[in-house]
Amino acid sequence: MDVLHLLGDILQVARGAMGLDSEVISRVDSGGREFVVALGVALLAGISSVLGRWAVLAINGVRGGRLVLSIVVASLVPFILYTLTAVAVWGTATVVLGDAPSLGRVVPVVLLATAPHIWGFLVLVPYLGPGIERILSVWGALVLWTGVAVVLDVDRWTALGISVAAWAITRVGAWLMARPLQWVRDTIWRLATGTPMQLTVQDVLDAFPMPEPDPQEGQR
Amino acid sequence: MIEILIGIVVIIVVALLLSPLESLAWWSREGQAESRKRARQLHQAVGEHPHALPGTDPSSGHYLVFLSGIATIGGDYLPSGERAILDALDERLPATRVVRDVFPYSAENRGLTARRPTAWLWRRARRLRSRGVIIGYAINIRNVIQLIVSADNRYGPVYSAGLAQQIWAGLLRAGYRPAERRPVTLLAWSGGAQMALGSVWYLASLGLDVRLVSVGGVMANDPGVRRVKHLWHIRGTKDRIQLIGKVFFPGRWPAARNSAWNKALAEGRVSEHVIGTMKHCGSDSYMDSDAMAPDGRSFADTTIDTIADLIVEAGLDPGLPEGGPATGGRLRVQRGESAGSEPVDLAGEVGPGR
Repeated sequence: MDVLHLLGDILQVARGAMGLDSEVISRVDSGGREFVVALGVALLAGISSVLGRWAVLAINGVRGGRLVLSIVVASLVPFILYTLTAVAVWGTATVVLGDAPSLGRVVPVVLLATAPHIWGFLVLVPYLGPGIERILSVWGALVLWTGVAVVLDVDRWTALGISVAAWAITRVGAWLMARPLQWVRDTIWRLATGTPMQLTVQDVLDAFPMPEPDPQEGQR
Repeated sequence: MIEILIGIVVIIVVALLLSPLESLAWWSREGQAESRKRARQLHQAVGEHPHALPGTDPSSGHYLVFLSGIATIGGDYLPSGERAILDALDERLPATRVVRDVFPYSAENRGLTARRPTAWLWRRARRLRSRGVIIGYAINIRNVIQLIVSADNRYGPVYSAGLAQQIWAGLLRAGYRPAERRPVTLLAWSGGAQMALGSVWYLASLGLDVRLVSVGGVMANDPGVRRVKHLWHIRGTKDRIQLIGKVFFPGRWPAARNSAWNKALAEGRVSEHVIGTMKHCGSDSYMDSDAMAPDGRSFADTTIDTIADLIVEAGLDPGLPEGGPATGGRLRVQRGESAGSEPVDLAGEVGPGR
């Protein structure tokens, strides 16, 4: 398979998904090479999102080989998250509709919801970055909604209900699994970066506490 | 035309994307270790003098650190209007030492024309700006972007840690003795106010009483406001630029009751002082020695009087005794040579007004 050709396909499909183009999205649920294309979209979004969160790596002083490893690991995160969302969509559809397409067809379509995050590097922009991130998340949700309608062949309101239910299931699952997930996250972080825990900006501020008040000051 | 606009947008986006990298790279390389090392050294120095108390005797010493507006290009460059005002304050406040060599738009105090691969570009921009060519104002845009970096709660704390170190180094160069913990006031003009506010968090952690005088300052709801002893915001009624802080940073909106800024306002640690009809820059600005207030003082003298009075009233400096020097700490710029119009590089080069 020609890599450049594949990259062209990935960008074309990502563009279609971002434009909420049902026809482009419907091409992805046919499996085979299309799965690779959807996977490519998710990986591209992952890499871009890592660039957008460069500050986290910089604050933690991650450099060299560990930096590369961190980027690789973090790039896989959207793929994992959206695969779990796809399982939730598939499960909800099976319960609600009684009949759902195979999981293998649902996964690539849901992965396309990562497409807007190809712009994730823009989150690096000072001050506007967090707002851009929220816009990308809402945009991704719209792609998911469109994709669910296409792959399940249902009307848009049923698709919206299933998308919201799947999102809620994923959230509840994340909440229930918070501690083990945190352990997994910290372990991956430790292996990838060599630092014991992830420092946040608040940690940077907290490292400079106010000095203890001088007891003699009160006696003055 | 559309191609040009797209090109400008792309350049600005690329500049925005690259803007946090300098401070993040500094932090990743050495900043974290250096910041902690300096804090440790200071606490050791204070520990060796356990009886030294924060200075409260106004005659015994107070430090005023000046942080310039967005037109500056380095710690060795001050627009002439700002220089004249600092000279006047120096005279009006005999117990105050003025520190004026900190460049607030770099976490490493690296001026735009010093030790940078892009130094040649900024030198050229400065020349163009002095001739009034619009592209020369890239310097101002670059510094505005650094202001945005400082106001971003993801990058700001890292940036401010670097600037606080540079302010600390400036204080030491000016003879500051850590064990005495003399009070420090940051005097910041325009965009320098946000940079100053960010550094307060770290300077206060060193045990200093830090105050901030903002002259037409643009500030966000920065964590530093939680630790500032007092923030005086001086403004003119025609200064629209300083409103940017109020409008664009939601933490400063009245609705954000629990923001650090609004809490400081409620506690009386932030106060606003309207001193006249000053504009932000150019003629009729805070530094204009030609424009006259109704009471007969120039705008520049009004600004100087206000800053000096605030510092004296706060008990940080006794001020001039009755019958002091003939100039009385007023601007010594000759009338007709507006102090705000011709910024002068301390190295002797002439630049434009802001």
